[in-house]
Amino acid sequence: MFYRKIPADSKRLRTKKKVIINNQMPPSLADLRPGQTAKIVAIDCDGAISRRLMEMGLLPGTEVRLIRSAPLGDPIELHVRGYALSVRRAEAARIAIRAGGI
Amino acid sequence: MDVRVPQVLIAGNPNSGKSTLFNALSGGGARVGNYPGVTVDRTSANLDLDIGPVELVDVPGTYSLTASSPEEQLAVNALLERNTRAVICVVDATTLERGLYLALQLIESGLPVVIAMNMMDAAERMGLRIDIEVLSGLLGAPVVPVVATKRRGLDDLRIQIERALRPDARSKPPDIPYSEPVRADIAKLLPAIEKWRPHATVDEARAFALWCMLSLGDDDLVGVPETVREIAADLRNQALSEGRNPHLEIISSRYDWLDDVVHRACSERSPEMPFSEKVDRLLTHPVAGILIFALVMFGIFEALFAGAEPFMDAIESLTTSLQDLAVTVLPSGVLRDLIVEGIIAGVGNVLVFAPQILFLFLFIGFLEDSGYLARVAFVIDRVMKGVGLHGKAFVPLLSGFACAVPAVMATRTIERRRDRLVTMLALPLMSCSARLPVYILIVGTVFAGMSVGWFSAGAVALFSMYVLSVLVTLGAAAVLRRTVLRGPTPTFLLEMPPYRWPSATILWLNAWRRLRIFLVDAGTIILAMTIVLWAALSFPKSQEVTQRFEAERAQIQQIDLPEAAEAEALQRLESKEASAQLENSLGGRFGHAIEPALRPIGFDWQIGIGIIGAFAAREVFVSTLGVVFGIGEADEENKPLRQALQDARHADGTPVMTPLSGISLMVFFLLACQCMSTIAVVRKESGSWKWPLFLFTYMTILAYLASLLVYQGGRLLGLG
Repeated sequence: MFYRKIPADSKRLRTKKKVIINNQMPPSLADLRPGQTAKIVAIDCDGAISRRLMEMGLLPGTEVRLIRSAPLGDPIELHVRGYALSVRRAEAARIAIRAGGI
Repeated sequence: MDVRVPQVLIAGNPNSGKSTLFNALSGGGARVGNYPGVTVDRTSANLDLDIGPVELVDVPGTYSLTASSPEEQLAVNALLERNTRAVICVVDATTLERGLYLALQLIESGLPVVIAMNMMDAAERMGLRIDIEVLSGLLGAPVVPVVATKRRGLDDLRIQIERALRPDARSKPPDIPYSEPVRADIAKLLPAIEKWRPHATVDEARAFALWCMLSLGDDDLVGVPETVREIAADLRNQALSEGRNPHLEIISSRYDWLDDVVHRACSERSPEMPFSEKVDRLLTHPVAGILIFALVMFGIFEALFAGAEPFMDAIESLTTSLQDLAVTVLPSGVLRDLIVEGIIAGVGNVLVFAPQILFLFLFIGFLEDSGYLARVAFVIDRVMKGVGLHGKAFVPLLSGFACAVPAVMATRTIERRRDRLVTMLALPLMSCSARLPVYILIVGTVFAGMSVGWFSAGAVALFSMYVLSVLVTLGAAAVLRRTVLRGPTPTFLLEMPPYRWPSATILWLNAWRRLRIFLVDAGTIILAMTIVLWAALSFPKSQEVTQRFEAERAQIQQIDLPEAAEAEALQRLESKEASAQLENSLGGRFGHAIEPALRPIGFDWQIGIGIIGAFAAREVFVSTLGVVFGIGEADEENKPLRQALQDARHADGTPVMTPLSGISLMVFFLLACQCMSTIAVVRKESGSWKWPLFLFTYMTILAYLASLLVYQGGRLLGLG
């Protein structure tokens, strides 16, 4: 995946790329950078996964902070409602966040 | 189990300190069993209260009562048991809302619930203050602050449990402001639910309706009547066509209500998790994190390989001395052989796994309870995902290098059954330590003195086996995931619990429970198989052979030999007799019978008997060959055995053991399921004979085809 091949010091480039992609799609949790906070707008994963995420407290309006990515880029670690949860990027990409969040 | 003893469930989120509280309340005297139908531990213990004894049952950790698999349904089923009188819901005070979400679902059912607000010390350090009275009043169930690790608050908890067990005790479910459409849906489901559960109270029926709306769908839940399913499906389709999402509506209503309750009863908390986040900055760092990860994994590996070895050696030598003792004490005959080679050997075969199982579970327990196991999964998930495995499959797979038996048991850390089965069925392909003596014997026989470039040919062959085993294991997992165990993609929603120092008592208790389960359940199967195998390799005894060797023995004794020479000659004769008897036995005849099938992969009947004997455990191949070749006891470094193997000839005079047939044999041992203990433990952990039989079949076919490819391919290329 391309985000791993980009060296760490070219974060700005990476953000720009994402912004271009995001012209069509609303930003998702997968677009967050470590330390950034955003509010969830909608969850659009498979039925059972959506339900599980919601029952763990990830609901529209809930504030989420990205703590870090795993050393190999995937999964990512989120801070939500006072605990840390790791999810794969595939799932995170289907959790839409408020555009102002990033 | 006595149905009349009232049952108190202890439920809670994973990592909420549920097991610690369970042990603190029960004093450690727990019984471990299985929930019927699924292989999930059912841990229970007696709790003596002033009103009499109750059975305390530890329900598997869960975030909600909603279920989509029979395993997740356990908590609900436990609630429905007739003798369930009350529930203790353990809530981690540092993740209040999420814990209360589960508590709320329990309270909604109307069953008496006591909320044990655990880890109050940590929460207080974060600045949390709880008005217990207000919170209890709002939730409709008593809240008791406790610190399970320090045994604080347990007396209050006991008082509340006793109150909850009074005949008239009920929770007072709060009125959650569910949306009008949700309320209408509940009303439509109620008649069917009242028919399904005629004795349910109003609260129970309502709670059940909500449960159906959340749970039913693409599930494999058992025991839900078709009428209820149909109504739930209609309601869901109706909602979707109106653009509503009932799941979201129900869950949001609950969380909104809980957020309000928490806001009214609790102070603000500082939202950070400073310590664990700081530690993780190091432990999940791209460089340092992976380095530490590798070190920890190496530690497990070392403990299993080197750490357990002295204990295993001790058990083996104890077994041998017991056998020697029995030989001298008992009169010779079938009964003695049964005791020595069947029963004592069988018990030894079981006990020899004890050190590795204990070590592995102490290690895994430490990783799990400290919180690092979740980080292991986090770091390595990217790799495991590629073959359709969960990050948590890594530790069991790695343990497979030492021994598949504890490794299969370690798959219990993987939550979902399908993921667990894929891991369990692939990991016996990892090259375990019992394969090593076989490799060494073969390498020493066919590659002695040969080299490939700078390296000795034996080392290259050995190394290739390990690389091949990893590749085949991952490949098998990927194939299983896409064929036999096809299903929804395994998800990775893993809480990263804060780091905590594990309790030595609990680590020890858990490892000991695991070991006890293995000894009792898998142990009996292994013992039985050892006896059957012994019988197959001992019977029928040939009278003709016995008489022939009696005659030869008498001849030797007649000749006037020096004592030492006579003893040696007799010893040699005895080994030859054992060899002849083995060839005549059921197993020996079977070895002969399968020779036509073995020839295409480069083996003969003698190797065939070795393979049959190796079913007890792979390393037994070596000692079985020792008997086959009339050498007596032999290990993998044994020179006469290597010589005998080198001298062995097929009927047409060509040597049996060539470098090519050697590689073919190594590949066969790498891939075949030559281990009855693995079969026994997979039977135990998968809950049926179906999976171990499948495992044995697929591995044997795979091994045969791979050896065929190696041997015939090699011959086509003009090797061997």
